[in-house]
Parts: sequence; structure tokens; C-alpha cells
Amino acid sequence: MNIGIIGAGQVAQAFAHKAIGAGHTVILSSRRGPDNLAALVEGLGPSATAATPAKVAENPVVLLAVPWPEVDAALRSLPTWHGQILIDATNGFGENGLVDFDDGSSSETVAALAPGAHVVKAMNSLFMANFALEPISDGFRRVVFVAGDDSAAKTEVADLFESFGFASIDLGTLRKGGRMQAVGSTLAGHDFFLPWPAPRSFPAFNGER
Amino acid sequence: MDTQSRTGQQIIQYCYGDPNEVLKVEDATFEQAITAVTAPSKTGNIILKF
Ligand SMILES: NC(=O)c1ccc[n+]([C@@H]2O[C@H](COP(=O)([O-])OP(=O)(O)OC[C@H]3O[C@@H](n4cnc5c(N)ncnc54)[C@H](OP(=O)(O)O)[C@@H]3O)[C@@H](O)[C@H]2O)c1
Repeated sequence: MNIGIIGAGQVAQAFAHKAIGAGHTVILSSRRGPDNLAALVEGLGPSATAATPAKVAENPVVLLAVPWPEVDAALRSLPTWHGQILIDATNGFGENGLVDFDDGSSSETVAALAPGAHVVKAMNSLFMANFALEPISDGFRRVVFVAGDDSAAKTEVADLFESFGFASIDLGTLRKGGRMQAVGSTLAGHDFFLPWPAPRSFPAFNGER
Repeated sequence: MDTQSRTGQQIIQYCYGDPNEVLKVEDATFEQAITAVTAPSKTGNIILKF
């Protein structure tokens, strides 16, 4: 699968390594233009290229991996979305610390800025140092939480992370599941593992008991 | 490490870095269970079983 990445920093690179390892092709981007990413893509090998953010966003799956204060500018610069999946890895860290989204979630803000995209929040709870490690160990898999309002998109993203070797757990909607894995939440920063194979959702949770 | 058990109620088990340290949370939502086991005093990898 061709996966576009908006951003070329720590999260983008950690994701790119895993995606390439699983046989996917990645296209990275940043504000500085593709030429400035030449050394990075060369280091990632033949399955990586660089392009402009607008070009990157044409891919069927796109990862958003820019600092929160840049989210608005990054998304506004893109052409209209037409059903692509946008994986939101951003955390709501503003210039003055954690951003307050009231009862909503940062990913709902992302979704509002990307109409036509199917936004799935993922990767937020993990430190990239842990994400970068081998996800399979001794019958267990490291967990990536996913949240979103479009079931098909969420399943595709869950499948994608499982193709990298992770176990995906579905936390529900962008609002509830997004808040649960966001920075400052109970899940944030913890490193979870599941015995593999495992169910993708906790039945009582999704049944809202 | 205990195995997964289902007794008509959801049981979620958490094992920390030390596999002898097992915490069971029964009849809870995922959110309640996670909140119970991600207390600041807890450290290490968390193995979920549900
Ligand atoms: N690091 C972690 O452990 C971690 C874990 C989970 C989630 N997150 C979240 O993931 C996001 C990315 O974090 P990071 O650690 O990867 O940040 P980073 O290392 O600072 O990288 C950010 C990247 O975004 C690019 N960028 C900035 N503004 C842009 C724009 N308008 N359009 C296109 N590209 C733009 C930057 O390149 P230029 O400046 O050259 O444009 C840079 O390549 C953040 O929201 C962070 O909170 C981070």
C-alpha cells in the first residue's frame, strides 16, 4: 500500500520504518519541500520517497504527524479530501501546554479541518522510542489503540498496524476513544501488550456498560 | 500468570513487568479498568487480558 505522511520528524520516521518493514511504500513531506528530505528518504531505502504535502495527501492512507500548532496550517494547505483515510497521530500540545477541547477531542478538530477524510486516531499514547521497538515478543504484541467514527476506515488502520506486528485495540469513537488515548489521558505513555491472537475490542467497553 | 476467565462478567487482567503482579478488574468498562491499573504508583509494561 502507498502511505502518505505529512511530517518527517520522529513520529513520521518511526511509522515509515515499520511500514516499509511490512512491505508498504511511504511518501514523506514537510514544509521545507521534498529536496530537503533527500537524505532522509535515501536512508529509509527504495520504498521511501518525498513529495509535497498536497501530493502526499492524494494517497489512500495518509498519516498526519506534525506538531499541534501546525495542524491547522498543514491541513488547510491541502486539496479537498475524497474519502482517503487520515491517521491522526497528533497530540494537542499547544504553545501554552495541553489544549482544552472541552467535551470534544483533538481528533474531532482534525476531522473538522479535513472534511471528506475518514479520520482515525492512532499512535498517540505511545512514546516513539517504544513504538520503534520490535512489537512482537514471546507470544505478546505491543498495543496500538485506534479510534474513529468510520468503522471501515478504523478496521483498515487496525489491519495496517497489525501488519506492522502490533495488536490493535478499538477504543470507539473519535470523541471518546480519541480522548482516552490523547496526551494527558490514562492511556498516555503506558506500554501495553496483549497475548496474541487477541480480540480487537473490549466487549463491555464498546457496549458502554 | 492467570489465564483469561469469563464467568458471565467481563474480567480484565493486568500483569505488570513482574508477571507475579496480577491485578484483576471485574465487571468494569475498559475505561474504568484502565483507570484502575494505570495509577501513578504502577510502573512497567502492562499486559492486558480480556
Ligand atoms: N514524539 C513522540 O513520541 C510522539 C508520540 C505520539 C504523538 N506525537 C505527536 O505527533 C506529532 C508529531 O510529533 P513528532 O515528534 O514527530 O514531531 P517532530 O519530530 O517535531 O516533527 C514534526 C514534523 O512536521 C513537519 N511539519 C511541521 N509543520 C508542517 C506543516 N505545516 N506541513 C507539513 N509538515 C510540517 C516538520 O518539518 P518542517 O518543520 O521542516 O516542516 C517535521 O518534519 C505531534 O503532534 C506530537 O505531539 C509525538
